[in-house]
Amino acid sequence: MTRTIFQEKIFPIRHKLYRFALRITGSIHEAEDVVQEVLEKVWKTAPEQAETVLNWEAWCMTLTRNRSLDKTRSQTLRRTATLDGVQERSADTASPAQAAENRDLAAHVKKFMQELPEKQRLVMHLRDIEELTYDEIAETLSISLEQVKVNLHRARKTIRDKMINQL
Amino acid sequence: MSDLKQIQALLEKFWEGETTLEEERQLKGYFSSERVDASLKQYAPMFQAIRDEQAVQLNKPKVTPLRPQQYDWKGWAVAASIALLLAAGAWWLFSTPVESTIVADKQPVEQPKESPEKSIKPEQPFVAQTETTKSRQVFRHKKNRIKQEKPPSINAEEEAAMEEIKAALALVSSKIRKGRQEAAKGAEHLEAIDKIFKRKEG
Repeated sequence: MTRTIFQEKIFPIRHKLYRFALRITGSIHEAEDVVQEVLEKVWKTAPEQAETVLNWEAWCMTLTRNRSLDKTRSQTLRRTATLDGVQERSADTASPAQAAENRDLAAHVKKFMQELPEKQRLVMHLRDIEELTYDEIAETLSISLEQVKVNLHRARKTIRDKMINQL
Repeated sequence: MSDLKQIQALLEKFWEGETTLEEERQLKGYFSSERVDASLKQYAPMFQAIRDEQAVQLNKPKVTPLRPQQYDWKGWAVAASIALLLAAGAWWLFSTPVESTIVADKQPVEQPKESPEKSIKPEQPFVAQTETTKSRQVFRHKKNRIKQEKPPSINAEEEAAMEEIKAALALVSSKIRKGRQEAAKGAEHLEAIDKIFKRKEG
């Protein structure tokens, strides 16, 4: 792994890797560890992969997913809906009152998202938050395009129904 | 089509998972604005949650554990220790005059009957006695001395063994030296990465 490749292709996506790890593990501490481990692994093994990796970002996301799932399964981490302490920057341009109300309701929606089944939760995260294409999602999660569409459809409908019925 | 109808149509596609990324960005932009229609406000929290999640960032990238590739010099250090032990053993084996330990002929020297007045100490085969005894003792002495002398073939083997051991030790020390150099290079890489992260975070 050269410094240039790391600086230009890997380092800039660390936040995306972190958010993805956070979505899977539900733990800030574990997500940080996952990112650290992934960056280490990329640094060490990238020279061997340089010929075969076409998409560094997708490769890193896959590593992040695998490592996060390993941590979740081995430590039986509970997916918590509370991500306290997570630094958030608001990009809200609505009125302050509306923004405050939305933020309060948004906290409930985040909880709904965390409660989704794993595949639906990850597909929705990769599409709606990270804005990956369906192909990229399929590659990252090692599922078919059809499964991506089905899970995204189910996830969004579940969130919509809960928003209508519970908020 | 009015904005509201367009947004409503996009929302229907959105729930079905049929919108494009561009259409989804359009929806996100609408719901982050102040012009959200009352009939659609119930969906605003979801888009707010998405915006919040997109803003989440890694707070503290732990850079220090990025360990560079390390040369396994420890394995060579173990090999060096074993080589030294073998060398020490070889030295002991080839330098110790084994036969001299049995030079003292346990078998008592035959005392000639002709000269009983001369006592012969069995452990000292070199004491001259009668000619016969003397000759036997001399013979034994020569025999023992011959055994003590190292035949030329053993010297050559010893030298060959020593040369091999020297070559092995030279190889080991070069590997250990290389290991130290690699570790130093790795430390330089580590510092460079640390500077990159600090610059980025700054």
